[in-house]
Amino acid sequence: MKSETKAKFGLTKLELRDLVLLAMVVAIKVVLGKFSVGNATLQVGFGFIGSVMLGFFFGPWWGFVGGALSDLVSSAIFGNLGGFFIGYTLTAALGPMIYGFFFYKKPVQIWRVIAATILVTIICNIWLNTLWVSLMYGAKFMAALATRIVKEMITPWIQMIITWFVLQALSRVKQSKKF
Amino acid sequence: MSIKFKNVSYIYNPGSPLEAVGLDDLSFELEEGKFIALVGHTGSGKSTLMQHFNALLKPSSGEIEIAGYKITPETSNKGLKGLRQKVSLVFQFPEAQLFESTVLRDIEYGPKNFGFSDEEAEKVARKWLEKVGLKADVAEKSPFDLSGGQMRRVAIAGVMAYEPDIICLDEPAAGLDPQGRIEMMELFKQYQAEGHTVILVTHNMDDVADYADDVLVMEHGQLIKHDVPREVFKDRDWLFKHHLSEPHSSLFADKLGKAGFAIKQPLTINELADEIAARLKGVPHE
Repeated sequence: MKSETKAKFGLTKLELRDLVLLAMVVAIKVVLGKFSVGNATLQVGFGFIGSVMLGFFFGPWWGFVGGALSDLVSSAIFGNLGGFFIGYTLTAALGPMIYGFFFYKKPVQIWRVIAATILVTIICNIWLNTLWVSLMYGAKFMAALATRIVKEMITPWIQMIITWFVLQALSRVKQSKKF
Repeated sequence: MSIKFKNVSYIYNPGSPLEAVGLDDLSFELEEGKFIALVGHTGSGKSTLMQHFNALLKPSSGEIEIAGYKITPETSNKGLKGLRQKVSLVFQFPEAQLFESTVLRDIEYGPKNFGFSDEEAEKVARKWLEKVGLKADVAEKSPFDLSGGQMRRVAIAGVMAYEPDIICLDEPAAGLDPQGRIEMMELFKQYQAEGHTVILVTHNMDDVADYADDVLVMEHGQLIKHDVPREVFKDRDWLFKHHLSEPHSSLFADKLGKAGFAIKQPLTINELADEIAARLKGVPHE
């Protein structure tokens, strides 16, 4: 990021170059969101890697914008399972925002990875997304939570490991002449 | 041993509205240890064919025999690692695949993936760093801090470091300066001379004339000719009809012919010079 002019709401002003990079990272997040690894019982999606990239490169505020945009773009191209709902857009925006608070212009440290992943898991995945599911399907919150909680207890640990290596690679790129 | 394709077809996205034929009933046999050129206009199926050599794509029907492996539509992904150690692909603009923290580690990545020990991997990485024409002092640099040509060399070193029996190169010299281009082509020629098979996908007919022993010509997913360069470039009208160009020396000879200075069709610059000298003095040039 070359320009550092502070604008309202803590949003730094983006040069056109950075804006294009933001669009590219949004596109990367959309594409990564289509990928997952694992077996029939446990699937870990890769969308969170895009969130980490948004937070790491652009910070919490532009990360929020990028996250929301990625959800809209993804819905427009691929559609949403179970229809469009603005709540999921909010969740998609909050993830990169939280990562941004922990990773943007900060050294890559284990505690940051652990804290950021746990916060995203609790706020976005366990609390908000469960709330949206229960709202959309008229189920009780606890009932919706029960179906999701097992996965949300396992995936964060996998995500932390992946995030750690992703951040190492991203910092290498950020330090190179290409950036 | 040889590389055998038996009635190989490949269809992209079968059964969907995006269905498209990539390869249409290909049969040929390539001798190992040769320098083979794969030519054809854009979209003729060169890349699709190339990705069949190490089973990145598996045929929709037919059978491939390569490097002691047999690939059929039912071939599973398990057990293909050995194949990929023997048959390597260098994609177009391979510098895009660089990712490690240092040049050396990037070159070591392939060998380590194929089970080389750390010491062995470092040894071959240093050897190939030198072979592709880079100085030893770039070894500890980040690959992202190199020039485009240097990055290309690092990427090619990474694919050649574990010394595959068969190497397929998709326009490996595209966008290099003339000197770098010659160095790269000579490197592949030397690699072939040492007993490996080189398959070169290219649009540059001078390279085909200079280096290839055998040429595969593709059009619309079909193999329309499989012959030595001299035979492929023999019929100018045929080349024109199939959107192929000729080596520059052959084009120049044509111009000479039109000006009333007829010589036998040469393939390379040296042959052209010989032919002209022979016409002028009746003695071949050195």
